[in-house]
Amino acid sequence: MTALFPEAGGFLPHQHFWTEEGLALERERVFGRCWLYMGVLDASASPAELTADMAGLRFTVRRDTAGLSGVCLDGAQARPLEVDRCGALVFARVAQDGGPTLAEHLHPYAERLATMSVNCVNPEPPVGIPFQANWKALIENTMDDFHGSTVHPETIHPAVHPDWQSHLKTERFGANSDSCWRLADGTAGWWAKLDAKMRLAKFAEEATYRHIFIFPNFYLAGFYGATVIPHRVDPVAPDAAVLRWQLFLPTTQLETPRERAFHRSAAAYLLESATGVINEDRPVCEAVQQGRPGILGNGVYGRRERRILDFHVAILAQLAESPVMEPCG
Amino acid sequence: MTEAMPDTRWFYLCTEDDLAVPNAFVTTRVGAVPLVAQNLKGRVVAFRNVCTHRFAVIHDDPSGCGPLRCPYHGWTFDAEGVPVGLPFNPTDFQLNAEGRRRLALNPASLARCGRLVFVRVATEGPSLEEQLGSGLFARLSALSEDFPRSGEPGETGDGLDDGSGEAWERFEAANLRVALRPGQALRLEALPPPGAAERFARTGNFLPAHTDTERPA
Repeated sequence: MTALFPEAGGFLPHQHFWTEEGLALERERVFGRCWLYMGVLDASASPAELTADMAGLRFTVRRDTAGLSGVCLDGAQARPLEVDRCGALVFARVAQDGGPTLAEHLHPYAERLATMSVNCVNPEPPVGIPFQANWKALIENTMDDFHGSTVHPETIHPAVHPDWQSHLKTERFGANSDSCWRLADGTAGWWAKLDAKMRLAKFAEEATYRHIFIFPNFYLAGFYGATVIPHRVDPVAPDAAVLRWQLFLPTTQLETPRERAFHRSAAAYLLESATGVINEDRPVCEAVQQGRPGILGNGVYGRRERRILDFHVAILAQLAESPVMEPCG
Repeated sequence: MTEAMPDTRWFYLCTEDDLAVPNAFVTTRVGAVPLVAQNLKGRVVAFRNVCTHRFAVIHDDPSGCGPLRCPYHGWTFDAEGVPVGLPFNPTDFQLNAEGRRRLALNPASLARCGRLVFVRVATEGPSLEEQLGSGLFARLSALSEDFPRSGEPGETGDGLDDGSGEAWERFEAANLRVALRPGQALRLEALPPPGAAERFARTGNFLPAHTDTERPA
């Protein structure tokens, strides 16, 4: 039997998905402590600023002549941020003594993320889609390979290779993971035509849908080794979250009005497609939010669902840590 | 019975007619617990309306007709609550009979009072007759048999004040508000159980087996 019935201590107690107490503990020990994805700074804006609201904490990162800096507002309390980058991706955490560096936190995917982030150019406006569900339900959903045929029968499911047992490769390292799914031949052909037309900038020659998850709430999706879409799941309340994402469609041809018009058209199509997929995920995440308080058991995890338990174990470890010693100064 | 202990309370759900055909289902919620009653191959059974795999609500609609299949991953359950349709089982779960039984839906309780169907979260506790009292139970049961036909509000009197001047008798049973015009109409208004949204409120209008005009001379 490849299914895993989780034992006590190997998964988060269900009430962490709907209680104020659970979110308060996460605010202190997860979002008040971990490295968090902030965004991609616009190279053309100076000074530039990124903001994020997670679990009641307000993060602001600025780039000015002195470099990157930031602050976290926790109610009336302002706490300095450590800010670092992985390629174009900006991360921050509440300044503290000890803890991993950003490279350690991203391990072993820092280099791969940096490579992919080179394609964070030609940005489309950021998108935020609210879910009436705990943020962790969205994380579980994004690490779930099984729901394509039931939830996305006409979108993602036919877009990836039908023999997914052979053509979906998933690496796990702690709570971080990388899954790489070969595109269906038809989808790969569509991207090849787009590439011929637009001369996409590519970080890799791979006809895949790649998905790198970084604990606790960031994942970077990539298509065809070209388009990249950073996603972040922001907790709003115990039963509410916002999925924030931004599409980058990098092209080497964006000089003429015709090229720009084609790029706009392609980006609009991809935005609509991605939004459609997320709008298919939203009802099932919300169905889990509604159902979880009524379940008596602990579920079961299939061979390709271990990443979800990895995430639970990482959250449990993070919640068990002692309070952070803030640096003096 | 107190509001603090809704799990052991019975709540009116629907009539037998609502669950008469295979795969017909009716849902509600009691506190935080979604419930479903469903006709599965002729057996009417009640479960917590939550998939045991990854905890999604199985049937979102208040009522309908369709297999007991989770919308998230397509797990399908039989009348025992055991998953029988389990996508990717050979490759990714390999659950045998015992493993499937471990993942049976959490049972709920179902009881009938005449043609009326009640559900409860707890699998053990006082019977429906004990909760209602034997007199009220017997009367409700008899009324459900005496008024077997669904009718439109216009047939039973619009609302409870149709201007006819004829009195409606009113009483309550569990979450039911009952209005009776003897020999002519029965109206059942089911309030949503505690924790349930207004969409789980139900109103039914019922007529005798034969109206005066239909009775043989």
